[in-house]
Formats: sequence, C-alpha cells, structure tokens
Amino acid sequence: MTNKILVVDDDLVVRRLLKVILEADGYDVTTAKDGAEALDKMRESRPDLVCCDLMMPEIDGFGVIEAMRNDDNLKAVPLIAITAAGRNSYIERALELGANECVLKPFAKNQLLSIVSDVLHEAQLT
Amino acid sequence: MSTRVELDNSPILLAARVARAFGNAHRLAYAQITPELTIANVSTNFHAIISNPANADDPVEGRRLDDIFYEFSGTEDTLDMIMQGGLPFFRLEDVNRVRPDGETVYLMFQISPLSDAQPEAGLLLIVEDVTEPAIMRQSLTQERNELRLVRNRLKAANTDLGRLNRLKSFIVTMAAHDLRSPLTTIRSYADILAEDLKGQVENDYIEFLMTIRSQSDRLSRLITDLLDLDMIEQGGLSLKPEPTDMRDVVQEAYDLMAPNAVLHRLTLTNEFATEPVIVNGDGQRISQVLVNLISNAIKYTPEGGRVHVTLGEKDGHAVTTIIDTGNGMTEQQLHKLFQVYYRTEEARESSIVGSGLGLFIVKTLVEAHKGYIKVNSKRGEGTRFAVYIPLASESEAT
Amino acid sequence: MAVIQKKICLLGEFAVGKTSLVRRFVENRFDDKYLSTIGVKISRKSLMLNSHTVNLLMWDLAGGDNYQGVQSGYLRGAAGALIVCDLTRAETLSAYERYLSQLREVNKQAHVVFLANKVDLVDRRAISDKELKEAANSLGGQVYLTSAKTGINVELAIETLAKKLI
Repeated sequence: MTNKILVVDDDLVVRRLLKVILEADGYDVTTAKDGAEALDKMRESRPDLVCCDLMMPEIDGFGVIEAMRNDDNLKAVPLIAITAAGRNSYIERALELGANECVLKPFAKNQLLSIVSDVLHEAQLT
Repeated sequence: MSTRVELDNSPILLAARVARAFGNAHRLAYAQITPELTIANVSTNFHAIISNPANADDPVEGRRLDDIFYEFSGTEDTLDMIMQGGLPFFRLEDVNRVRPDGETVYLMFQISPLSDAQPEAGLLLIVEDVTEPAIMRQSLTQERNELRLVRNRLKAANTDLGRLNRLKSFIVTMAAHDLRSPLTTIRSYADILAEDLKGQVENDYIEFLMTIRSQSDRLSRLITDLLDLDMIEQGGLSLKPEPTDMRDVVQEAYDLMAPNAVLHRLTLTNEFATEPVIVNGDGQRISQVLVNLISNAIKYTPEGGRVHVTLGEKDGHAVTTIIDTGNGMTEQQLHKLFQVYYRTEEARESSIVGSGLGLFIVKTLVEAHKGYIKVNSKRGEGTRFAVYIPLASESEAT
Repeated sequence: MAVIQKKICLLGEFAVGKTSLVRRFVENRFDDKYLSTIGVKISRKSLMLNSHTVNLLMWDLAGGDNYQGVQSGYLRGAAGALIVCDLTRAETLSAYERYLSQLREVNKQAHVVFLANKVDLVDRRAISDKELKEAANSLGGQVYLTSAKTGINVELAIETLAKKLI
C-alpha cells in the first residue's frame, strides 16, 4: 500500500522539492501552503505522515502540531517538522509539542528519505 | 580689626566681640532687626561684607529687611515664628551674590532672636562671607556632577549597544532562516539531477552539479558559523554533555571529510585508539570542531599532500591531532589564528573560501569543554593541531 | 499701581538647566558651558501682568541628587515653583515627585509648573511626551517642553506660573 504524505510549507519551491523527492521514492504526496489548509486537508483525508515547516504565517507549524495532537482522529499521525531556524529552542519546542522528528534545512535528499521511512515504519509498528 | 559701634553693650557689639575672639571678624557682619522687620543698626563692616555699594549717603538703617535683602521676601511668617519663640533660627546658606566688580561672593545669612528670653524684642542678623569654602565646594560639586553626567551618558550608550546587539542577533537569525530554504532547494535539485543524469551526460556536467552541491554545503556551513558566533556573543552557547566515546566522534568527522580529501587529491590517513576514550562532552559540538579542523587541513594543503588524523590519550586528556603537509604558518599568523574574523593573507588572496569564523568557534567550543588546543606550524612543512579534552574519569575527579 | 513681589523657586536634579532657564528668562542669553550652582542664586525680573507690575524673584537652587535634598530654608516664602527635568536623562523625570514632596513639606500653597528642558536636543531625547504627561498628571501640574538654548516656551511657562500667583 502506498503511504500518503502531506507536505506543508509556505514556500512553493520547497513544497515542490519535497513533492519531487518523496514521489520519486514512491510516496503519494499532497501539499498545503499553510497551517489552516493543512488541517483542512488532513481532516478530509487522513495522511500516513505529515512533513511540516515550522515558520509559516497565520497557523504556524507549532499550531499544526498542537491541533493534530488535540484531534482524536489525527493524534496518531506522525509528523516530521522541517525548519530552517537556527535556534535549538524551535526544535525542542516542536518535539515537546509532539513532533516525531525534526529535519534541519538544508537537508540532504537521502537523509530526508531515511527519516521519512523510519518514522513511517515506527508509526506502523505501534 | 576694630569695629565701630554706635550702641554700647548692644547685641551687635557683643557678637562682634565674640567674632573677634575667634579671629573671624573680617568674615562676619551683624545687623539688629526691629520687630517690625526694619534694620536698626549694623556693624561697621556690614557694607563691605554684603558688597553693598551703599554708604553713609545711602544708609540701610531704617530700611525694611526685605528691601535690602530680597532673600528675605516672603519670609515674614518664618521671622514671626522666631519672634514668637517657635523657631530658634532661620538660615540661608551659600547665597550667591555678584559684587559690583562682577565677582561672585557666597554669603550665609542667619537670623535668630536678639534675646532668647525675649524673642519678641527683635532679631539679630548674622551675615558670614563663606566665599572661600564655597568656591572649594563648588569645584568639588562641579567635578562630581560632570562625572555623573559622563557615567549617565555611558550607561545610555551601553543600553543602545545592547539594543543594537539584539537587533543584529535578530537579523542574523532571520537572514540565516531565509537563506537556508533556497539553499535546500539548490542543493537537493543538484543532487537529484546528478543522480538521475549519471551516465547519460558528460562527466563534466555531473562535476558541475557536484560543485553546485558542495558550494551550497559551504554556504550552509557559513550560515551555521554565523549563527554559532551570534550564539556565543549572546552568551547562549549551551552544551549537552554526556559520556561520549571520542572514537565515534573522530570516526564520524573523519568519514564525513573523506570524500573531500579525495576531491582535493590528498591522502587522508588515521591512527585511532583501540580502547574507548570517554569524555564528558557534547558529541555533536566536538564533531563540529573536528570537521572544521580537518576541512581546514584539507583546504590549505596542496594537491598530493597528506592529512593525518590521530586519537589517543595523554595527561588525562583525549587528544585528537590533525597533521597536514600544507604550507604552514608564520609565528605572526599563529598568534592571530583564533581571533574572530581572522584570515591569513594567503587565505584572503587565494581562492580558498572561508569566513574567518571557524577557528574562533572551534576554540570557544573546545574551551566550553574545559579543553584547549595546541598548534605547531612550520613554514613550508605543515601544521599540527592538537585538541585536548579532559577524560570523563578526570573531570569527575576534579 | 501696586508692585507685587513674588518668589519662585527652581527645583530639579543637577545639570537639568535651571540656571540656564533663569538666565534665558532674565537676561535673554544662553551659555553652553555647565557650571554647577551651589546654594542659591537669586535674580529679579519685573513683568507687567494684568496691569500689575510683578517683581519675580527667581530662586535658582543648587540641583540635588538622590542623596541630598534641597535645604528647606530656601523654600520658605515661595509663591511658586518650577520643577525641571532634563529630556535627555530619563532619571531626572522620576525626581519630579521627590522635589514636589520636599516643597510640600515646608510650603503647602506654592503653585507648581513642571518644565522638561533641553527639548532642542532631539537626537538625545530619553523621555517621551506620553511619559511626561503621565508624570505631570499624576502630580497635578502642567508641563512645558522648554529649551533654555533656543528660548522656546521659557517665557510662556514662567508667565503662566506668575499669573497664578497674582
């Protein structure tokens, strides 16, 4: 079965890049340009994994994580936070709120793919 | 100094006698004030002391007190209080007066009852010329106040600097954030293209793509350096120390740099301890130090040279050495090596890319681990960096 | 015509410009050099106000600091007071309250106007209009932005005070 991944990033180029990388590895990828659209889309169709940027206007990545963790239907969906932030505090906060992993920009393609597969694998075991 | 007094046995005469006895008659003058607050009579030096150009043609006797001394206007209530026995005296200190010749004199005025037993009988005004001590106090006050102004201004400048520093920090953080997203894209697409096109296009093109990739990596390391530097400057360098086997850390840094050495056509060799070398440290940070030093060694060693990395123990420390066969450095260059933004003349003029931040950060990180760095270098022979980090067993003992 | 004589005290921290304000008001000139006043310097100026001739006695008192207040003798008999702060030094604003309470200890009835001096030094401004208004409102007085250097508002502020005294 193909895993469904929702990519959330306000930067079109990054969104596209993630889609290219993940689709090339065989995932079914949908995208959202901000937190609100992301939450709408995942409520419509529950993804197997969310890759979410942290710094976005309106509802940011932290807001998405919180909303997901407070939603019974989305509680268990794993999430990888992707950030270009230079501060450890962002990463720590994301993990505290319930992100499964954090990936720092710039990332290497293979590094991202291996984290995605690890997180999916782990989530499907539990 | 003699005084001429009109009334014998008057309080004025008595006061003048006392003043003479204490040797300060020349600085003191007296006036007798009636209950109606007019001046009854004055000591002979009165005009001189109060710098009044008035004389016998313009007598002060019979004039109202506040007419001669506007210092006392509005004080009728207070003077009444004295005459009712409600206040022992009224004093005005350091009253500035400009003499007709333009000089400032300082006077002290004191008004008390002529007689304690009969305060209602009238008042005694004593005027003392305090110019000499006042001028001294003035210059002390002046100096003190000027110092305070300077101190206040420094304080304000300091606050401004703090604000600028926070602003700079904010800008660095935001710029870093905004640079990283495009870098991610550039690097990743170069990666994807290189992978997908391998064998389909000329090898040169693949090499171009790999250059795009490695230059993006270099840029992103520079961003990380800037962020680290900012963090150090803000005093926010935080380590997560835990028992760490230096063999793993050194191996990781070594493996990461190995492809780089191949690219520069250098020989990269090693000699690592076979037993665990445990330090209490932040593995990621130590790895950052070693990657930096090994990549420097590779950068500054000409083609065909050799970079040798070793790990061992010495004097309670884990010692990692990075030895290259590069150009080496002069004494002078060595001295400035760890300064922030320092780059050698050659480094600046050559095509070698660097920010001058790396070694400063390296030194700060090593010192944060209570370690130190030794550098030996000889012009034309090469350079040896040795990183000393206390062994966990040692740091527990201390 | 009756001549009225009124005593006005100038109070405030050191170097806020009390002596310069009096010099501007009485002699209409300004000297950039700072010379600390010790004790008191009294100057006179006559004004025609509402068909009265008013002799104003300006008591320029030595500036204080946190440790040293004004000698109470100076404040006796004052009909009015100008309490001055320096717009380039934030700490001089908080001294308003201290000088007012020192004045009130010996003198309950004196009218008070607040001055915020050195308004010409725009670049070094350290006290906002809002902070000034709040301080003056809480102490129950008007506040004027003045500059002894340019002369702006100096006469207006002192005459406003003088009118309250007659």
